[in-house]
Amino acid sequence: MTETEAIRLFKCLSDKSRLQILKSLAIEDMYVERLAERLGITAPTVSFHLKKLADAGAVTSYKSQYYMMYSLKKDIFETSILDIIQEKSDEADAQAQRDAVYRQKVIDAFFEYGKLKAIPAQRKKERIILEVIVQEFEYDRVYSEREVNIIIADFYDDFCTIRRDMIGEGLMDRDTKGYWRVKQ
Amino acid sequence: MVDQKISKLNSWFEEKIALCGKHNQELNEDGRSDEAIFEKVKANIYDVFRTVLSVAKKTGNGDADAVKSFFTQRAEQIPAGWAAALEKAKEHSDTVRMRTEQIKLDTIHEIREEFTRIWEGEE
Repeated sequence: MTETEAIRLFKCLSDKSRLQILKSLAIEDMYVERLAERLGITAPTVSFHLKKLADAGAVTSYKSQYYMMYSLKKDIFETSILDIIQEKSDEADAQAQRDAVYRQKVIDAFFEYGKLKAIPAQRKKERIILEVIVQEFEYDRVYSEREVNIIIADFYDDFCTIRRDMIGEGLMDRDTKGYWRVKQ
Repeated sequence: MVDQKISKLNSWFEEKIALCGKHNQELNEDGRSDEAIFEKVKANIYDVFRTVLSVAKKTGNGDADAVKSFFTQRAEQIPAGWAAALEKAKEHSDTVRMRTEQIKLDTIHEIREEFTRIWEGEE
């Protein structure tokens, strides 16, 4: 478990309702309404907590007949706290983690439900959003300009600017045959 | 008469805000910080509409219909974005956001009902 994952898990666990949910799931798998009845909180609130627990990797869900059942991810809880604090965390890892957090922050700020809200003014931020979009392109494949525009248009209406900037940033290249993704 | 109704509504808002504050404190003390935040969200909505009421009073200048029209119009306009945000969150199964938007919509529903009850003198 990485430091980031451990912090996310501990933050998630520092809530009485979520601990109560985990205690219930430790007994048996349950569905939302059953947990709500057991814990005396509303079903939407239980769903809210389950989503946070699932994001932290503490619970998982599966469909059983008409119900979505939730279960404890026991392997997560088998990791000892000592294992987590003994995990080596050198500066390169820490820097990579800081970069990943920054990157995620930029992505969260500029994308909403997979759509780009605006092109960032800062070059560093724009590079990050371009790197996200370019992932939609396969390597070793030549795309026509129309294909490139269609793919980009799924993210943002001004596909010309994005297309041009991807070339400028060296993420894509082009010639008379078309466009292709550059291997970084 | 208008002032009396406004005063009643203001007292109701104050009671609700105080109750949310009490619940927020209890939930925080009980280690349920996210549910405590939900109470803050509710309190903010009551506070927004308490402000709307004071603007309605000023704009209406003693005219009951003008106050009612201003308040009910804002009570429709302001939450329109919340309903859209809830639908968007539902589309993307964003449970966390769904909960917040639903709380805001439930609170404004309660405010509308209380406004009608006091304004139409149904008590």
